[in-house]
Amino acid sequence: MSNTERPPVEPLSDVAWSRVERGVWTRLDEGEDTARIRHSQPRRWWLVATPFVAAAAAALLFLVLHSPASPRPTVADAGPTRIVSEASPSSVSLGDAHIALDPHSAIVMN
Amino acid sequence: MAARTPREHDVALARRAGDGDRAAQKELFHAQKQGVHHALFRVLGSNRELEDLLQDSFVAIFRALPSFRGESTLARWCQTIAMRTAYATIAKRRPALLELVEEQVADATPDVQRVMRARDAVRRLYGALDKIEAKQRIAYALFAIDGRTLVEVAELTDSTVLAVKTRVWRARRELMRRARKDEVLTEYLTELGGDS
Repeated sequence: MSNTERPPVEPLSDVAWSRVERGVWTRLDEGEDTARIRHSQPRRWWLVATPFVAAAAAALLFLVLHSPASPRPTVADAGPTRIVSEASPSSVSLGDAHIALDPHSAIVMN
Repeated sequence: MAARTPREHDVALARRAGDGDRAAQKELFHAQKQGVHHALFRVLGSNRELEDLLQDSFVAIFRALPSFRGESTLARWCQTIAMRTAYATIAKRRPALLELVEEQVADATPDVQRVMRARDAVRRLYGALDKIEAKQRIAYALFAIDGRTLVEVAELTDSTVLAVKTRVWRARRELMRRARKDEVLTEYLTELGGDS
């Protein structure tokens, strides 16, 4: 600002300052209360929830251990497997393994 | 025992106030209230909405106190938070419809007329500032109206000097555009300057 005076800053009255100050302390106190409630809420929630979670876990464990055993896949106690191809080439797939046989050949798997 | 520097005093006071010591909070409030009020008044232009904004600012200041490390003075730090609060308030509010009232006093002396004319110009200026972007308004108010340096405004608004310079320039251009048909405001803006 060069050629002109700065506009004056009008002071705030004492009454207004008192209102501001009172408002600040009130809001800070309310904020502290809110913070306290916020801190205590999760703790209370966990106190109630923990026995229920533990009971549910125990029940689940009981059910798993005492349920009738599901049939398990059995592996046949088989001897060696022999694959023979005739006049034409053959191929066989066992899971990820892929075996290609030339005509008139054989393969034995143990 | 060596006397504490003002900065050390600031840090100690901020720590006590941040820990919830009400006496320290009161000391801080009374030490900083004029500076915070001054900065906010410059941005808003009147005390009309200032009580709420002062409350919001001081609540924000007290909540942010644990982060005060003494890198700047406590006064500067408090005013920076007040500017953030002002920005949040101005940015979300709708532009006020300013009613320009011509003040006429029949027997006014030249001095009184000058004061009235200046008051009218200031009112018109803040009316125009109400319609421009909040960051530009704050930068312009602190630099051109309050006479702070670009560096100081940059610190108060968490910005770079270049950003502040640009905002002041844009604000001034926008104000001049709006003042095209308003002789009083044009004259006042010219007197204010604001060329960064």
